[in-house]
Amino acid sequence: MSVMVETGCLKLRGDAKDLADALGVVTAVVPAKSTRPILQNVLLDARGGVLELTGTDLDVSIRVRVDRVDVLGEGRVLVNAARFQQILRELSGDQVELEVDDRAGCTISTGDAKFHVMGEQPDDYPELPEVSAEGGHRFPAEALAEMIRRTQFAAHPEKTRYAMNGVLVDLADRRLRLVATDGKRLAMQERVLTEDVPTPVFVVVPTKAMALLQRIASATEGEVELFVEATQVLLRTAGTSVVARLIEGHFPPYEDVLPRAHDKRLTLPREGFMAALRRAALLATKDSQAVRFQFTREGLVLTARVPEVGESRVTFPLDYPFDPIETGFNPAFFVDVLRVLEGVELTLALKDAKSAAVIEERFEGGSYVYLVMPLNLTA
Amino acid sequence: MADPRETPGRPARPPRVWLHADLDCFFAAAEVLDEPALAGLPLAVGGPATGRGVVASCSYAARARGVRSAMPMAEAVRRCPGLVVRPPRPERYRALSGAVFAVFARFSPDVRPLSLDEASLDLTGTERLHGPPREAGRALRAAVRAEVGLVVSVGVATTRHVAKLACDLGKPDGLLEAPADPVELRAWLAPLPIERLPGVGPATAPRLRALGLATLGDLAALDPDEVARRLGAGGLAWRALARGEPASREDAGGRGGGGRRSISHETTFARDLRDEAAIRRVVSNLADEVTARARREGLRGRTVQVKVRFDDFTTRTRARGLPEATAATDAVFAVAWDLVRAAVAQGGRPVRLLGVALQAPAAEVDGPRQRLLFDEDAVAPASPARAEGAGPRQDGPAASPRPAVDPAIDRIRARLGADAIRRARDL
Repeated sequence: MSVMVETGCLKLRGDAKDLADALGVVTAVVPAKSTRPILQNVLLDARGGVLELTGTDLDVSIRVRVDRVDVLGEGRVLVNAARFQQILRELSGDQVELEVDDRAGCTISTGDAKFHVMGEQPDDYPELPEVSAEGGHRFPAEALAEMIRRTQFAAHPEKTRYAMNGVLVDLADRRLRLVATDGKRLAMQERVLTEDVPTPVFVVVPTKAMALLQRIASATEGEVELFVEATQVLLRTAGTSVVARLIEGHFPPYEDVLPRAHDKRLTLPREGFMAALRRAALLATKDSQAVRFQFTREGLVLTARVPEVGESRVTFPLDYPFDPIETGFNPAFFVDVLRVLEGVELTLALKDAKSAAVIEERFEGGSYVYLVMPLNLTA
Repeated sequence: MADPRETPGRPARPPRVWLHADLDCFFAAAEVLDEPALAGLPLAVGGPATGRGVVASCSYAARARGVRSAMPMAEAVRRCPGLVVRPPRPERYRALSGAVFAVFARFSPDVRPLSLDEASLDLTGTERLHGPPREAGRALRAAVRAEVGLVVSVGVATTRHVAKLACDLGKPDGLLEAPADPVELRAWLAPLPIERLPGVGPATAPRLRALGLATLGDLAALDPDEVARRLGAGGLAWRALARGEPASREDAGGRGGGGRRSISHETTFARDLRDEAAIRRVVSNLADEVTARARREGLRGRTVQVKVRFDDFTTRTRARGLPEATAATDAVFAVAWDLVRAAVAQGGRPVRLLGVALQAPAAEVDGPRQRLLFDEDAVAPASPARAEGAGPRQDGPAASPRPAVDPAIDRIRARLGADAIRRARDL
């Protein structure tokens, strides 16, 4: 079959699922509502026989190459991302065809259905920031995805807690560290590198970009390249580029709080500990997220008392040959970390009632540390 | 909120005695005091009728002809031709208020000012000193009249709110005591129209009336669950008041340490402020004072509230929640300044008073407190100006690392006094 390529009007034919997948990644960035409605679109850009989809919220931008699509006519058009995604989701056939007329009207068709949606000329769409792809760092995608999964959840959810609403990328001395904290707990994973790091990196990447990178990295088998500039970062896999504005606030001095004198070390079964915590926390309310932890020679006793709701007491057998410690924790902070760990057992290290509880893991090529600050129950 | 400890069947706590004192048309009365020829005339204090002035206070003669406070002066003059208008003299009012409060202080160790001209006095346990509450009220009124020359109305009751209500009902120049016996008190309150509840104005009253709630008695008779469902938590407070029950722990004589806490500071200026930089400096100072006190008391706030009073005595309050309980000066200042700036822009008038309050919910006061990994200042929100999704702070010291600035300042002040050190933005 001979394909005639026209210029000026975009025309595509290709695999519906591939297009939908690529669009799914892009719409994760595209804001559902924005003071600049043009940002609610996805940019379809077909050039040189390749289709790329682009989305941005101005802080984070993404460009995805769609592989199994034939470009029959080259051109650019903006389409409302949410609507486009809905249509692709509902299509029945394997193949989809998209044709754009000279007034940005888009006809999307499969075997038995045809949609006509109004697009927009992309003249006013913001240019994607350029990041020089030089002097980058390469990491295996799968390992990086894992590091993000095990740290990012500890970041602060609020944008107002500026520097903590991101994940620190600390690259120096033959090791890469990802660190996230909300000021109450902290997660850090370290990966030992085989080569020297030519230029150290110490930047805070917004959680939104990190979540996106995790999604992209876990879907690829290759490598992720990282390029850092003064105010932005480029993260690249074979078919995808993410550019994110760096968080400019100062990340808290995390190395100062890494555990030193945590001499009370104990081993716990992960599943059992999680079940005990969940039971103890059953009565917790939004206002009262406190469980009393009593580490004694008889084991760990978890109690929760919520005024006007009730009381719970769960005893967890434990080998604890140290001085007793009585303190309190927000159980959710433990449940969060127990969810991302895979081991049958875990190591918990304690110092005293006022210091962080530490969950540690060492493995080949790296380590993981998670700190939870206790509650002051007597306040 | 209704206090669960006040439900029937629990042991009753000893009855409280509250006295509410409120000067009769204070500013207008102050003008008459200084210019006796104005006595008996329809008089209003406020901005001129030619501008956007409003009535800050008016005499009873003016009220009889339809003038009300907060009414635009132009309308007041329309309703009451011949109305005598005087500009406010805040310095004078403050001096008189000081003299009145000095009298109040002789009657109770616990005087809670509500404004320049209004206060709640806890008279519980003062009977041997001042006689029964009614006698104390009479003596207080006589003392204010003799020593300051102003008329103060007084209400006496077992709760703060009912005392205020009694005071309002007794005006002008009145002394009214609500029954102390709970059953009699409820019967006494029942026939009062629903508008007598605090916060029930022209917007809310029709809504309540539509629900068949025309009097306090109607509301008092409703099942609490139904009140909560129909009117929310605020409705429960109204119901408690309508039943003559204490609406808060404090009201019931509980310790001030329990429940919600608020720390506030406000400043009135000798000359009204117009300049943004000057206003910002004051807000910074207030935030500093409030947070320093909060830190001394080991308290963290969840809400920042600001108060802006303009030269025409109109007042705006704004509040915003904080993402996290804090006593960090920069964090509180950032929000307070944002709120004040918006209120000032909207008011568009010179500012005569600014206030900043930091409020902590009961859980932050009584409950377990989360320990933190880092010093508050090391992680204070710092937001470089950004187009979308910027944090509350638009300016101020940028994203410099400020480890432990607050604790350092507190330590220096503890040793060398409050004026020993200031932030540069306060200078």
